[in-house]
Amino acid sequence: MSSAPSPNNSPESRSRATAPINAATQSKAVHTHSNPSSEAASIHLIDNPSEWQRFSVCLSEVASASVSNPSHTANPNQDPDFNSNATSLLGNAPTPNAQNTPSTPKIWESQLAFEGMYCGGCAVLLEQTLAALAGVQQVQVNASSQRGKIVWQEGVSRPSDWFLAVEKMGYRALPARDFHLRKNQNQLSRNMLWRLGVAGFCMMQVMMYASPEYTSLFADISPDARQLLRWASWLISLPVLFFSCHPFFSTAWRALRRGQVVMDLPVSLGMLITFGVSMWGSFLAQGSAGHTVYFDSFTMFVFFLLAGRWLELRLREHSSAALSSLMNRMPDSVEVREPDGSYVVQSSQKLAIGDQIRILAGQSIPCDAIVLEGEAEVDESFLNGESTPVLKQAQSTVMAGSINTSGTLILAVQRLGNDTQFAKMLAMMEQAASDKPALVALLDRMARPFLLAELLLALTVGAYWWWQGNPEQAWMAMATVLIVTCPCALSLAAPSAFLAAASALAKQGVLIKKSAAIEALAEADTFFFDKTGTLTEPGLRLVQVHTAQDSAAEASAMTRLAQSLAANSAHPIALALHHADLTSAPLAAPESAPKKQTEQTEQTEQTKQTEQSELHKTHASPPPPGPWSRITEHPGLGLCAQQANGQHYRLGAASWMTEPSPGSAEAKTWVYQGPPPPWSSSIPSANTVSHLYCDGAWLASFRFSESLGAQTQRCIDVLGKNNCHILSGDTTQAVADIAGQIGLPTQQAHGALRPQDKLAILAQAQSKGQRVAMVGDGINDGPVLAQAHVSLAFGKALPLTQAQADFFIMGNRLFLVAASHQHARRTMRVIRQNLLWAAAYNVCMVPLAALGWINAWQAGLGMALSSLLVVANGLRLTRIQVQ
Amino acid sequence: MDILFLLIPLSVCLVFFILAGLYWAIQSGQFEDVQHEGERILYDDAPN
Repeated sequence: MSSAPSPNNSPESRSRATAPINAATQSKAVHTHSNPSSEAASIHLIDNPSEWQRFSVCLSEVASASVSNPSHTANPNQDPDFNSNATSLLGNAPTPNAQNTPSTPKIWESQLAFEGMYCGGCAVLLEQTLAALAGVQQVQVNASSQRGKIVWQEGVSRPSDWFLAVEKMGYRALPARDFHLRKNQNQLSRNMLWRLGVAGFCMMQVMMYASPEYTSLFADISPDARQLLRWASWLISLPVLFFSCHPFFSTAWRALRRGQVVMDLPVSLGMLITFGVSMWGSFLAQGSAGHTVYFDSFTMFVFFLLAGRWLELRLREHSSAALSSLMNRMPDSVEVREPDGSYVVQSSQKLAIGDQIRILAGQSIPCDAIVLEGEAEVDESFLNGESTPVLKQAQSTVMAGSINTSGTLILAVQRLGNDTQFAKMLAMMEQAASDKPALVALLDRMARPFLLAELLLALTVGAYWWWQGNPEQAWMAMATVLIVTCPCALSLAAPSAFLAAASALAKQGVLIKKSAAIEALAEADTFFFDKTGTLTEPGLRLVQVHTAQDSAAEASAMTRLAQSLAANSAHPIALALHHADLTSAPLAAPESAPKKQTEQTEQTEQTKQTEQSELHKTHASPPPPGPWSRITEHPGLGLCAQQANGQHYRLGAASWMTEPSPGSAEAKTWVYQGPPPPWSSSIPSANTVSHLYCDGAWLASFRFSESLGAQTQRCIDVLGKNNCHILSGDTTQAVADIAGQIGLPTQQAHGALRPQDKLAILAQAQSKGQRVAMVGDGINDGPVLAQAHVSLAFGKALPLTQAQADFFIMGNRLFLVAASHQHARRTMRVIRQNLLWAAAYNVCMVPLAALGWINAWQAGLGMALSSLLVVANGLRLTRIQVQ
Repeated sequence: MDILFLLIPLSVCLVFFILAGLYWAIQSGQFEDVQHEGERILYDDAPN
């Protein structure tokens, strides 16, 4: 990667980069309307071979050895990977056509990632759409991983064709830049599945051959038949030993070479001994009729352990896919000023320090730069407190990763790539992934004394029998002891529980990055919540209207007027007005002193409609206002417009109402008549207030506040009010407000925090010995989430945060935080039960085996049953009990 | 029970064939998107 993932200038990435809430179709409207050529130009950047070769592999060289049997139809059932295998099992590999002449165009296989696939039908639609394009030979779209493969002919098909075709259907395609990374991972998981399949299938076969041995206790079996069955069992166990056991042997061997003993070592030893003893008992022992063989126990044991490994691998793969998918984006483009003064679209990779670039409203800024001309509000949610747009003018600096929300800026590039603030922040958020939960690490530490004890015991037993003068019995007794002490239940105890819990949580919409996270969450005793977007619903709500007569009719009329004016803006206040319910228009009631409209609110966007909502009131009201003209939004101040009758209206901060824009049409009719009258209030509050003026005369004031999320109260109650804290960059007053609504003590509500303050508070709690969990949506919470013992990304979090956090809770059901916490605790209980059982089993069985009181087959059966019990106990966790 | 001497080796051979088939299925990506591939027969225009 040449640079850290810098956001690009496309609407989709804006919606990803901007935090909490609704998708950025507003910015899309602004962007595509104002700059269609830039978007189209950026698509065509992908036609450059150096770009598309990053996510493509050339097939024609690989496939040159296979049978030439051209097939032109788009056949989704045949995987290009397989087709490129020169020794195809079926002997009928459709290959790229015309392999004979050296001048034929090359065939490439590219991988794409898709967005907007919500159903299985989407995959089919995409396949058909892409297959219909010229030059495309095969398409295969995978609905679950949301990726697709295209086999195409260079020269006939162009990459930009695919992207445009997909966009026409309403989806979005991105080049899979993590192509090579995923290919390797994919191969790894396929291998694992293959091993598991072998183990499972052979296990079933071996058990079938072994069942007569069990029933032979009650009836007779001829020695020939018995020997035949043993041969068959041995033969079928061979693949399991040499192939499926490989992960365990290799881990154990690697650890041994480093001088460490992990739990895999006793496990591997057990496997080898079981197999060896069984083989010896089948063929090599004198009078082998009397010996018991354990092929069935062996294969079952391998299967269960491998299943645990495979599921764990899938879990890790799932979460790493989220992170690697961030690498997928269209080539970044930006408008650069040419020496002759015109602007031309170029790839962001080619920027140089000192270049002048133009950023339009809705686009994101690709580098650290200084403003030369223009004025706009810029959303710096990555870097400062809550996502308040900041006004930028000439000589102010802007950061890479921030988004221009209004206005055009001409910038001079200062820092690029890894030097930008954004890149540094990303680097700060990288954390070393430690895979093993503490419990499993404990088991590994226990492995060494366990192993030594096991070997010692076996030798003792063997020595005893040898001394008794019965060498054969000595070997068998030693073997039995080793088999009995094989820590199968112990090894299955934790993984089975973690995986069952992970699957249960996933069904509820909670994704886990690694098993250790479950353990960390179970131990968490202090919860820090971000305020906006986590505890509260994103956006503002209109709570009160103050008019001259304070009547319901006037309030609703004024609200409608303000609504129609605000329909032209995407500001959070405008959106709150848009959503205001006119039937229950709140009247002015004793409340706060008016506050100036400040940048305390979040940036939200939504699809704009110019028509206003219908009024449902029955009593008479003035007719709705007509269309607005000369609509101007002044960043930081408000919105002004003109009605058909020549009246000028302004909606915004009280301070802005005093002076009309000099020289504008407004100035002619605007006569400022004084500040808005105070609310008949007594209780100060942090709510945002906006005022409506007409030609200088005050009409109405509107008060907005945040509303608590639906599940917030329940979640906090379940977690315990004393354990929950609020961390927020919003004002202390606003935070105290919310804390009061939930019922948290005020010392647990921290407001007006910068990111480094949040970190300090967290670190302080941790130093006091508390296990800290942080719940946030990731905007500017990144380093804080990394600092906590366990982090939960909530709601519409940034993709990067989603990938980095331990838990990702989809949707906005905050109660899942509490539910996950309880489930994690339950999981740890189950694991402890499992470990207790496994340990008890081993401890009891070992003396019995040593003294010869249990038969060998009983030992084998016991091993299998003990494993099954542990797994079944773990399966109890697949259901979440929600209080 | 002499027939066992034919049947059991035969079944062992069969096991190896089946494992080969399993190998092919895994390597050609049959197990990667189980739900989608299963639904494929229900789609109207998809070429089979």
